[in-house]
Amino acid sequence: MSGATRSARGRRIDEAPAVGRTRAAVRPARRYFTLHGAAMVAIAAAALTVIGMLYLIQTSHVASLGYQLSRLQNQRDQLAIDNARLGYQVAQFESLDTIYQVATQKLGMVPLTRHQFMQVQVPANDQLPANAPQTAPPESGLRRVWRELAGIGRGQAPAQGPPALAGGSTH
Amino acid sequence: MRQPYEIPRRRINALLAGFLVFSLAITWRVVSFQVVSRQALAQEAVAFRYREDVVPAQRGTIYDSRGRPLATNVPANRVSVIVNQVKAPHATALALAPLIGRGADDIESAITQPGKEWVVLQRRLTQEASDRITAMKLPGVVLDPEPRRVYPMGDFASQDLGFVNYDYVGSYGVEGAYNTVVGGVAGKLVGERDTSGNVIALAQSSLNPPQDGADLVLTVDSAVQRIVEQALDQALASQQASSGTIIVENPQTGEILAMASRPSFDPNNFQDVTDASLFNNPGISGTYEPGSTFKTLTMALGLETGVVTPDTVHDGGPYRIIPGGDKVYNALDVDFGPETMTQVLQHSSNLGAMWVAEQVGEDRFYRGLAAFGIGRPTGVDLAGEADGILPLPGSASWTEANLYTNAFGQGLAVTPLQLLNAECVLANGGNLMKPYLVKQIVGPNGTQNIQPRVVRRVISPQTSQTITAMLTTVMDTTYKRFSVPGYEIAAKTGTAQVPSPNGGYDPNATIGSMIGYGPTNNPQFAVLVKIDRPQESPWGESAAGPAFQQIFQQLFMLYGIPPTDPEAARTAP
Repeated sequence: MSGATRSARGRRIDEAPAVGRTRAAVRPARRYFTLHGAAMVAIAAAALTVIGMLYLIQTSHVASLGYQLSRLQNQRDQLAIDNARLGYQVAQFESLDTIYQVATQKLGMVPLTRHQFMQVQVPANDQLPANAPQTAPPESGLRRVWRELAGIGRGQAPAQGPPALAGGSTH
Repeated sequence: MRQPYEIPRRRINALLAGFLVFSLAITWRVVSFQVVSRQALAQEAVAFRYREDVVPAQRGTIYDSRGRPLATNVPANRVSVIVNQVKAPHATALALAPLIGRGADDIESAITQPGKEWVVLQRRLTQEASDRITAMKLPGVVLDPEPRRVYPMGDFASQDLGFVNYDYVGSYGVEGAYNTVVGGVAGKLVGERDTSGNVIALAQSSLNPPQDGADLVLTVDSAVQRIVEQALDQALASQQASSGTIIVENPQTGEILAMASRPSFDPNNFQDVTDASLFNNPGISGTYEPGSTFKTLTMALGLETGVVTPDTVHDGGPYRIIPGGDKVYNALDVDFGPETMTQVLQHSSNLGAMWVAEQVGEDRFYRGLAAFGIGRPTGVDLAGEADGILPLPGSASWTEANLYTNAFGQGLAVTPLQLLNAECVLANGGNLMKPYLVKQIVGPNGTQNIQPRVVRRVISPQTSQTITAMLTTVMDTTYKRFSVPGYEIAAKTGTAQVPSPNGGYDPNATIGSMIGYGPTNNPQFAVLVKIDRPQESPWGESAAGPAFQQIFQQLFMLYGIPPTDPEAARTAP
């Protein structure tokens, strides 16, 4: 029998031992750089320095923010104080004695000592002139499309006229 | 032989010993700090770094019914001195004296007191004084802000408002009665401090926030209050009277629209008041014998019980002897002859009022007066309200004569508010209302609206209409000169005697008053004017009438109430 055999697919397999090939496959990984001890210490020191610097920067930033916050709080308190003082001044100016003095001495007004109610005949609703219905002017199709897209409504006069003013009195 | 560089042994020993002693001393101090006194020092350090401060609550503002602030807060500086930092006490005292209102000697002795580290020299400085002290940069002199309660209108409605004392606690008036509501609850801040004592913003701190006080909206209308105060001042000046009170109440709701008394005080400078009785509100705490104004209640009870009608006629004669033997006359000893009940009111007949009370009877008369609220507090939301005095049958202070004297307002005592609130029963259709000054509490958790409260029904609507018509007739006849043209007002005057401290009545003193309400078709205002010890005229009509008329005239104008008779209003002189 010869020293070579055939595989199941008929390819020839060399019978020589495969030891040498195996050794070639596990050759050592290539080293890209090498660190000496001193370099490692220097790098570690540099890293520590950077970390320390970052920490210091952060801490000082936080501290400065803290002072800024205190300053802003003081500023806010001062503004609140000023606001209170201004409010007090407004209240003093609104006091009736001040208003009376300003009205009589600066504006030349005189106290109202007498008044007169005038009676007026209120016309009945059916005697009032009818309000002409207000119709909106026609708008172009382009404008209408834009209005619809933009969600802009279109005002229309109420049929009953304008609403009464809130708090209005009738005498 | 010793080598030249050789150090003597004893020197080394001495040096060693010295070093040893020094080391031991250092060690002892370290041990002392770290071990022996560790706990105390640690506590001291924590106390120094973490300080607990009270965070004051903001006191609520008090507004009138139109939204005008009557009481608010402003910060005011307090000047203090750190004693050991003052370089020149005499110069410091001289510099501060004109600015803080204290004598230089007084200041110097205060800041040189032995054993004192910190002295407060003055509080509530003006802004100008604060600015000038700051500019002087005096060593050891410190300014720090504290809240100050201020009243922008000065002595306006002062006895209604009260004031806030140095401890920032409300006293008297609304400030006192609503102190817990308007004052809020102080908070607490525990925080780590820097060397200047400021809280380190990013350090650990805990804040229990303060709860600010609620704002109060009063029923008092500053415009009405001003009308009333002006009328009162004028009345007191023209009558040279010592004191007086005017109250305006809405008879439909019980809202107090104005309440003023003189003399009064400026709550901004409450500390300058030497007579503490000025802080009391005479409108609710001062009692007096109401005199003839009380006949309105007597007549209302007569009508309500059905013993009289407006047209019932009675002839009281010249006088009447009451139980106990005393003779009672009409004013000026006038004999009015036969008179209707309306005329009894028009003449202000004492004998007629006595007869009505007699017809009503003891039981119904006193039950009726009690129903009107006489002799007990009205329950108004102010502190210090007096009860009044109403001796009842069966009590030690009551005699049979009381029925007769009480009928025309003597032998009993009311507060002005008590009487006016009873008069409101006649105006509003017969209900006794609870009077009140605060109508809205605006707090952090919402707004509370105080609603009018009916205490009880006292008389029927029919009786209310009848007595109103009778009193309107009185106003249109007897007191015509104090009417407001075009408007119908129901009113009655009173001239009360003043009890003497020695017993009996003071022959030289009266209390003139006028009470009424209007417009009678829909009463919006009930007014009581009370002038104490008028000198120009002892009669209620002359003393109180002008102020009464002036107040109604301006109230109708202010509230835009149209006259019932426009022609009369137009043609009036």
